[in-house]
Amino acid sequence: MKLSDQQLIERIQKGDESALDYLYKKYYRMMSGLIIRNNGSEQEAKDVFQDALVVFWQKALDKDFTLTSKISTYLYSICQNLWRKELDRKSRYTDSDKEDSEESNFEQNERIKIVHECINQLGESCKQVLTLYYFDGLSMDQIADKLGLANSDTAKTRRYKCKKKLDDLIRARYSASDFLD
Amino acid sequence: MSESNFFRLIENYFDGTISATEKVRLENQLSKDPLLKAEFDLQKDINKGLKQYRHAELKSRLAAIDVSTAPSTFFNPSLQWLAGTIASVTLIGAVLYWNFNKKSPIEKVDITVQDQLYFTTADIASVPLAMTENENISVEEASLSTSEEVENAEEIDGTTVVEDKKESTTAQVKPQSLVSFEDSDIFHTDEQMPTKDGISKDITSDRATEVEVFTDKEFSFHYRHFNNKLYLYGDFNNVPYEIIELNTRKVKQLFLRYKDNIYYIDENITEVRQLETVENEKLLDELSLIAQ
Repeated sequence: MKLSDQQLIERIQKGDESALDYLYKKYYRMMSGLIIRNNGSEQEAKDVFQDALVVFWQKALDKDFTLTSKISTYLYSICQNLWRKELDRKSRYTDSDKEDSEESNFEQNERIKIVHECINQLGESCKQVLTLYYFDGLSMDQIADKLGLANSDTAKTRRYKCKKKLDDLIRARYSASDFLD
Repeated sequence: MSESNFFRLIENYFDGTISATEKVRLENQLSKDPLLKAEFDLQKDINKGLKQYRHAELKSRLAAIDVSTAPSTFFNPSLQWLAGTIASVTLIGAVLYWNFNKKSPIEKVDITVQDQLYFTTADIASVPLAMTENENISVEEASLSTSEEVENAEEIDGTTVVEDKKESTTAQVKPQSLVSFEDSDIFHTDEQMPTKDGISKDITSDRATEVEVFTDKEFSFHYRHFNNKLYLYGDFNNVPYEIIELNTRKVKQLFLRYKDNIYYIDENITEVRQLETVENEKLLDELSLIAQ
């Protein structure tokens, strides 16, 4: 089935993730060609294009989003920017920098790791409510619609409870020193 | 503002619903209150963690898709149409090229001369195998010759046909003026030979060529030749001329003998064309033998 750019945007705005699958298959050759032609590997090409699609997903979900070019053009420029940043990072990232950076990020990485572990302790429904709210930026109505909840109030209550549960789990894992640093 | 109100501001901050003034107020408080700052950092980590979780979830969904068979840009519908068109045109072009350039297989050349000499080149080629057993005609390479004309033939073909006088052959070969379109290069070296000049290769006609003479001031020594009719332009009513006709099974070539010169008469010449002299010496020799 062939979908127009407008149809794809409409699907994304409804939270239909299969639209991403469609774009990934359709433009993989074009985008991976860009990366591979510029000294990237096949795996790097996949990684960059997947990131670009996630960026595009978030942009398209914004209620103020307007498509001013073809999706392929839009994706191409995101891939270009992401790959340029990656090449930049590679060229600047000497061994000594790497050590310094690793030290400074160690503490933050540990905390993020705890957050991930706590998210995984949540039920599937909680994970969905929270990620749809904090990452996808869906409204309570959209979340209720997507998750088959009664109404936006139900979605709002669930989000509140799930967030509190996550906060509690993380607080229990964080040591007192983390809060006082 | 109470502490709970600042907690609400932190929540609004990460929701993106905080106003500019509230943001300034929160930032001021964060710089003064380490517990509030710790709560802010906690929420920042949670927000970041949730985003990373969702990001990884979407990426793993995409990573599970097999793109090894993903269509390349080349195979998008518009390019498929273009590729199909190019392929069709190439195919049609190849067929047309093949048909227009396909040479008619010339198997036999019959040379009609005044003394009713008939000679078949293909017979020469086939004699060694086909005729030696049944009709006792032997072929020797460049050996025996029965006349001077045979020597001419040797030069051209490198093959001599000797008639066995004990048993007559149906070919009734008189080994003279043996010329083959197929074997001799003399019919192919001249640029003005009919096969290179668009002569129809499928013409086989037993009809005699009709000749009509015109006297035209504009055309003094020209001709047209089509539909088995020759139109001569010039002083042909007062000076005798001779039409020499060479026939193969599929090709007929005419020549005009006029005032000791021989000229090409090509087929399918609908535009008035000047007569051009045959200059190939071997061909001239053969034609003069025929026309004797």
